[in-house]
This record gives sequence, structure tokens and C-alpha cells, in this order.
Amino acid sequence: MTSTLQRPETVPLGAARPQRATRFSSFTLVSWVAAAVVVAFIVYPVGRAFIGELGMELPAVVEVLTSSRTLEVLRNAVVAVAAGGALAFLIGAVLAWINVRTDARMGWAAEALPLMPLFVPAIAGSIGWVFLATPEAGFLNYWLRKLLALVGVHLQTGPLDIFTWPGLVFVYALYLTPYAYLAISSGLQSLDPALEEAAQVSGCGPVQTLFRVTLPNLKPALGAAVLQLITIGFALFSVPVVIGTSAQIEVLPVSIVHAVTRKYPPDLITALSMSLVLITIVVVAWLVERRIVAKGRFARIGGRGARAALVTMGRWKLPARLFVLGYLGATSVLPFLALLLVSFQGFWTPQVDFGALTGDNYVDLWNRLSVRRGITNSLLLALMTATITTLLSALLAYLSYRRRSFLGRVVDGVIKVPAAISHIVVGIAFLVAFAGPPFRWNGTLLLLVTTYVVIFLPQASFYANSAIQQIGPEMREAAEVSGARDWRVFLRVILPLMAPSLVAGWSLLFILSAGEINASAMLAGPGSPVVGQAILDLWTSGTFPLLAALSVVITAVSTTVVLTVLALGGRPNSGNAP
Amino acid sequence: MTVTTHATSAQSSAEGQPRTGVDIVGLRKRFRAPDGTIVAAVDDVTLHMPKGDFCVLLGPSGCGKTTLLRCLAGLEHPDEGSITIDGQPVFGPGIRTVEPQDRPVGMVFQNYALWPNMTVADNVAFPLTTGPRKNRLPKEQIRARVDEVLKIMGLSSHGSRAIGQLSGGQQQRVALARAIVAGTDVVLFDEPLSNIDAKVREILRRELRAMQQDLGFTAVYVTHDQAEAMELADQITVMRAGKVMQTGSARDIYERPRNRYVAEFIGTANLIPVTSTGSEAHQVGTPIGPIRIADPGPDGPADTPRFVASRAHRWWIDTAERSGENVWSGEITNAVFAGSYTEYVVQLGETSVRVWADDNPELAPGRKVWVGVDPAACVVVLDHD
Repeated sequence: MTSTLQRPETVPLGAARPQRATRFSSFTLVSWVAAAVVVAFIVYPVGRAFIGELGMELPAVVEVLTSSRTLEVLRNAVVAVAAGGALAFLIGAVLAWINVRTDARMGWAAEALPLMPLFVPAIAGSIGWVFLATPEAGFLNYWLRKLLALVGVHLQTGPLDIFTWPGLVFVYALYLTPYAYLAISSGLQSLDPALEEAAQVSGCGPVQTLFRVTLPNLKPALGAAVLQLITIGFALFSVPVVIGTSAQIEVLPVSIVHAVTRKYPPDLITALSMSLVLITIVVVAWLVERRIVAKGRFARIGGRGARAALVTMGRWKLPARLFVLGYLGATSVLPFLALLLVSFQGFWTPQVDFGALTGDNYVDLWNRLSVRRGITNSLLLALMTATITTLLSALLAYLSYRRRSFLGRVVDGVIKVPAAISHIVVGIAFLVAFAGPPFRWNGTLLLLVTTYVVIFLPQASFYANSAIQQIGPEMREAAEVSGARDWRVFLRVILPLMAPSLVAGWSLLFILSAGEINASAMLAGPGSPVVGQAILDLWTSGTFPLLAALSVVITAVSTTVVLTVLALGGRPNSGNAP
Repeated sequence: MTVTTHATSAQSSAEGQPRTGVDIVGLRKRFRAPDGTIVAAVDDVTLHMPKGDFCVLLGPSGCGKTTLLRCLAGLEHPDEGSITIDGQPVFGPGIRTVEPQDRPVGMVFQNYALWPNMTVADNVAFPLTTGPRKNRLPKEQIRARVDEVLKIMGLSSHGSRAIGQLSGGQQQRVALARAIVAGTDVVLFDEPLSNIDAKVREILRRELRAMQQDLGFTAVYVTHDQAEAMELADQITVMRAGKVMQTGSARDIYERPRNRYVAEFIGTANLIPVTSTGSEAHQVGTPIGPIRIADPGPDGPADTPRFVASRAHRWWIDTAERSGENVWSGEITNAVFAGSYTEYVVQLGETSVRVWADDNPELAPGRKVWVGVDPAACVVVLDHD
């Protein structure tokens, strides 16, 4: 069949073509208006911040960029991301391999793994690890010391110390692992097992197969994993603000946020100049990745349902499963239990007196109007952000899927920009562009919701694009030949078929927005409190039990919402990386 | 290019309107391949598909048959030429191109393209629930029509099933039901049986042909399977590299191929080069001597190489000496048992011919034999290009 071979890559020639019908449907109008609004909300703030604001102050920019302080926080960020990212890559790769290619896989774990660490907002999870591994009062340390005392070793503090470089790197790794896992496991899943089998039949041993066939063909997935780690790692704010600050290690994203929040008036020049560094790193990483993946000599998805014979782990099966469970424990169960425990204490102490546990913190939480408003605001924002972003991305994905046009590719490219410039930078850009005149959106939920939508649009697009690419063009063509026009094709055929992936994407966006801190740290004012900001404030003021209670509440609520939605709306598709 | 009219095509509809089928004139569709070269997927195709006929587009992968079909559906926009479906111009110079939604066609896709988010009945009802609301049938009538079509397809009890619960053959029937439910007179088929087991395929093929004759729609059917084409078609169009090589009935195509390509693509043919025009009218010179022929073949440039084409099963083979016209002696070089016949390769000087005959243990390689062919089975074909 000629056309299945040619159609995807070819463009029709325009020469001497009879006039094509130019029906301007309401669907096309709505899609393009939506696309234009989205593009405007990305281009205008970014342009205004970096060209309007920063372009005027070039000497100041140079001064900031060459200051020893910038270099120090940059160096710290590089070390943290390189070490934490490498560890995350390793853990993620092993977890992906166990869950995709060995008989130690646990079905539920494969699906829960990337989502579970997100249930506890990263800011709360980091504090959970502070509760666990502070030298004096950490629960783990307290119990370890008791254990060591049994064998005659008596310690006053430690043995663990979270407020150190290793501690910081460890928590970085915990929160970066899901991104490595998602990219690598989806690569492994789409790699046709026949490729490996063919290598084995050709006489390659398992190790040779791994290095000569599996890894070379996984290059795009591995490249994507590294890119994700760099993008997310350099933008990570919650982990270093909690652990790095106490450890006297300041990293770049924290300096950017503090330049805005701890100075009055906000030092936008410093924040924006440092953001330039962040953007440069991500863009360079992206270019390098493109070069590696450029020539498409890599395997694509093979037959559906083709499953490799799983590697038999034998007596390594139990250790492999413990490793998976250990990761889930370290990343969500342990920190959550620590938060839960502290939330019922009058004050944070490792000597748990079960008789003295009290629900007072929850009552206190309820009585604080700003906290209560923070919770309702965050849930409302999460609902709006997840819904708007999902629908927008579905519409835009369909727009560029339906007709490959130059404009479609431009829109596609622009909505990926926020992913490259990180949440913090988007936050500053929105602050610069919309907080002041003529918009004066400062302290409103409108400012937060538009920022969130722009921040999460790349992730939503990823879900929407991968969903729509699984729908063969003949699904749409059959509807067209049956007489259906744009709206009907989209609403009756395309959207329902995308639904399972979109629901999974919606859930992820809901969790991420509910615990958002990167942009909120700068944008959420007294007029629009949100949970992430409230947790950070309580952390700064040392109100630990109340903070713990708040973390427990937001974790419980978002977990319930997401599990309900996933149960109702089908299971998440594997192979979607954020 | 070759326009064949059929006795069966001169029918009229019940309303007395002339039934015109599908008319394609001078159609071209080019693609730019990834390496920048330009590929003519459809290259100056002119073709008439008579109303009510089962018309098959036959050719190997890449011959442009699917692109041509998609041009009829409106899913591809041709570069030039014109298309008229049932008297309605849908594409052509000075005509506003009619979008797929508005073309009077139904279509069955290669993998059926049934929507898994809808039940069988919803899939079939879909074409009746599109278009402006005021033009739609009332709900009860839609339901009645869907029930009727499902009944024709033998799927009455399957209306509320999910698509995933059906077998391949049942899915194929649902796809056909969806294509005919709106009562369009032209139904397009894009290799609809290629994903089905060989046994089921035979059954479905017979059902499809019977259904097409009962309902009387014009079928345009794309396939690369010549057996399928032979069995289904009133009219076969053989395509190669975007061009029509020959159009005609199955018998025409098989017994009177016009060129070497068609002769080789359909069935197994012996091609013996023509070296001189014979001394008599129905005779040509070849390396193995003069051959008497039934058909002098099409006119063509004098320098185009020509061949005598004859079907392997129209030859006979004998161990006893024979004489007469179109009789040669030679030596068997190979014998392959193929079940219902055995293929003997017989060397006649520099030329070898394949003969399909009943299996005979005496006919072993090395054996001297006499072979011959009925002059009625010999036609002259042009070399392609």
C-alpha cells in the first residue's frame, strides 16, 4: 500500500491544484482563538520580563551574573542536580527494568510508582524527611540510636544527618526518580522485544545484548530521562528551600525566589538575571539531547501486546521487590507517617507518648481562616487548572494532528516553552507582566490560575499528544466519510478515545497544582493564600505540628480525589512521561 | 485509460434517473517523499466505474490504488483532474471541492476503524446522526434503519455489544453496515479482508459479493490479492506506479492481457519474445520458431518489445511424440508438485516454459517430452515502459 508508507512524511504539492474548499467552521475559529490566547499568555509575559524589564538593565545583569554569590549558588545547584540526578537515573533505571522486564514486577507498583511520590507534595515530603532524619530529634535517628544502644553503641545525635550534602542529594534523588522512571520505563515498554530476541538468536549473550541492542535503541528514552532530570532538577525549589537552607547550602532556584520574596521592593533584576542562567542550562541540555536523538535510527513501537519473556530473577526476586517497596516507602510512606505522627503531637518530639496524642492541631487548622482559605483555594485552583489545561491541550493536540500546518507547529512549539524555562521563571514573568499596571492582578486567584495553566500546559500537552497519537487517522477519516464535521468528530470520536490518557493527565495535574510551590511562593499573597505557600510559612516560623496537620489534610484530599477519578475514568496509560 | 463499458452498467434506478457510477478523468496526485523526490501516486488516471458494478483496483504495494480510493473519498486532495460520483462533480477545475462529509460514499477501512467508545448499534447509527439537526431522521426511524441493516448483516443480536467483543469477521460486517446504512450508492473498500484468516476470508468474500448484488451499490474495492479480485469483480483495474495498466472483466484481464505487466501480475504466464512478425496474419516469429496466436495484441510503437503470453495451464505435456502447429520437443529441467497440479519446467532451446499439468510420475527431470499450446490461448503483449 503506497499511501501508508508515504502519507505520514509527505506533503502534497501545491502546484496547479483546483481550488480547495475553505469552509471556516466554528470549530476552527474556537481552536485558533484558544491557540492565540495561549500563545499570547506565554509570549507576552516572557517577552515583557526578559526584553522589557531586563533588556533595559544590561550592566546590572552582567554584575549579577558575574558576582561570586551567583557563581556559588549555581555551583551548588550543579552539584545537587548532578549527584541527585545521577542517583535518580540509576534508581529509576533499575526500578523501570524490574517493573517492565523481570518477573519481580508487581503490576500495581508499576502504575503507582510514578504517581505515589507526588501524592505528598514535595514541600511536605521534604519536611517529612526533616522529621525523620534531623540529627537530634529525627524519628529514624531516635529509633536507630535505641537499636544501637542494644548492641552497646551509645550516641547523642545522629547517626543520620539530613542537613548535609549527602542528605540534600538523597532527597533530590527521591523526588527526581519518578521522572527518570517514567521516561525509561516507557522506552523499555515500546522497545520491540523481538529486537533483543533476534540478538540472542544471533549469538549475543545477555550482556552483549544489553550493550549492543537494548541500550543503543533506548538512547532516545535515556536522553529524554536525562533532559527531564536536568529540567526538573534545576527548577526544584521545595527540597532545597527546606533542607538546603538549614544545611547552609543555597541553590540557584532558592536564590531566585528569595530575591523576589525576601526583598522589598522585590529585586526583579537579580531574579531575572539568575533565571537567564536557568534557561541557558535547560536550552543547552535540550540542544545536546536533540543532537543525540537527531538521526532517527532507533526502534519504534513494535506489535502491540508483544511482551518479552520476563527475565527470571530467581533468588533476586525478593530483594528486587524490596527495592521497589523500599523506594515507595522512602519517598512517600515514611515521610507521610512522620507528618502524621507530628500532626497529632503538641510539639515535635521523637519520644512519642501515645497517650498524649491530640487532634488539637486539626482544630487549630480549621480555626485559622487564612489556612482554611488556602486549602479551599488550592483545591479550587487544582480543579480549574487540571480541567482547563487538559481541555486546552486536547483541543490543541487535535488541531495540529488534524492538519499539519506551519502555524500548528508554531503553537506546538510555543506551548512547550514553559517546560524549558521552569516554573519559577514563569512565575517571575507573570509577576512582572500581570501583577502591576495595567492588569493589577496581584493577589488574585486569576493570576495564579493563569500561571498554573501556562506552567502545566507542556505536561498536559505531552499527555494529550501521546493520547492522540495512539488514535489512528482512520478513526477520524471514518467519521468524516460518515458525514461528521469538526465538533462532532472531536466530541464523539476523538475526545472519548483520548479520555483514559486525559484522565490520567488530569489526575497528575490536579496533584501537582494542589501542592504547587515554585510559582506560588512568589505569586500567592495574603489575598490569595494557597497550601504550598502556607506550609512554607509555617516551616519558616517553626510551627511544625500545624504544618504537619496541613500536609496530612492536603495529601489526604488530593489522594482521595485522584484515586476516585482514576477508578471512575479508567486506568492511566503506561508510557506517558510528564 | 482503457475505458470499458459493460452490459450490466446500462441499468437505471427505480426513479428512472441515469445511473452513472464513478467517473475519473485525468486524475493526478503527487507526493513529495522525505528525501525530496516527487512520487506520482496517481498518474493521469482516467477510469469509468459503471453503476452497480463491483470494481476492483488491483496492484502491488505502492501502485497508488489506495491513494486513488482516498481521492474518491475526499481524504486526499488530488493535484489535477476531475471526479464525478453518481453524477455529482466532487472534484475538478472550477468546482469547489466537496469535503468527505458531503460526498455520496460510504467506506470500509482496512482495519475497519470502528470506534471502540461506541456500541455496535451506535457505530452503525453514526452516519445517520450527522449533518444539520433538522435534516436528520427521527430517532425511531434511525433505530429501525439500524436494526434493518444489522439484520441484513446477521448481527441482529449484537447491537448492544462493545466493538472489542466481536470477532474479526463480525467487525468487518459492522464496518460494512456503517458504510451502507445511509443508503449511499457508492461504497469504497480499502483492503477490508487483509487482516482476516484465509478460511474466514473466503466466506466473507462470497457474502460481500452476494450482499453487493442484493443491495445494488457500486463497490470500489482495493486489493493486492488477484484471487480476491478475480472472484469479486465485474471490472478489474490493474495499476502500476500510479498508472492504469488495463481495465476489463476478470476474463479479459486473465485471457487477454494487454501488456507484459498484467500478464505477469495475474496468474502464471509464459512470455516468449517476439523476434519478427510472422509470414501469416495470426503468426509471429520467436526464438523457438513461429507461434500461431489468437490475438495480435494492441498497437504500439514499432520498437517496443513484444512477447507471446500464454497461461501455464493452457499448455499440454506428453511423453509420446506429437506434431503440428505450436508443438515443440524439449527436456524437463524441473518438476514441482503443487497439489492440484504439477509445474513442469521444460527447456526448449534457449527458452524455457512452465507447464501446469496433472501429476505424472513418468515426467521426471531429464526426460524428453513434447509440449504444446492452443493458439487460442496465445496473445501478443507489449513490454511495459
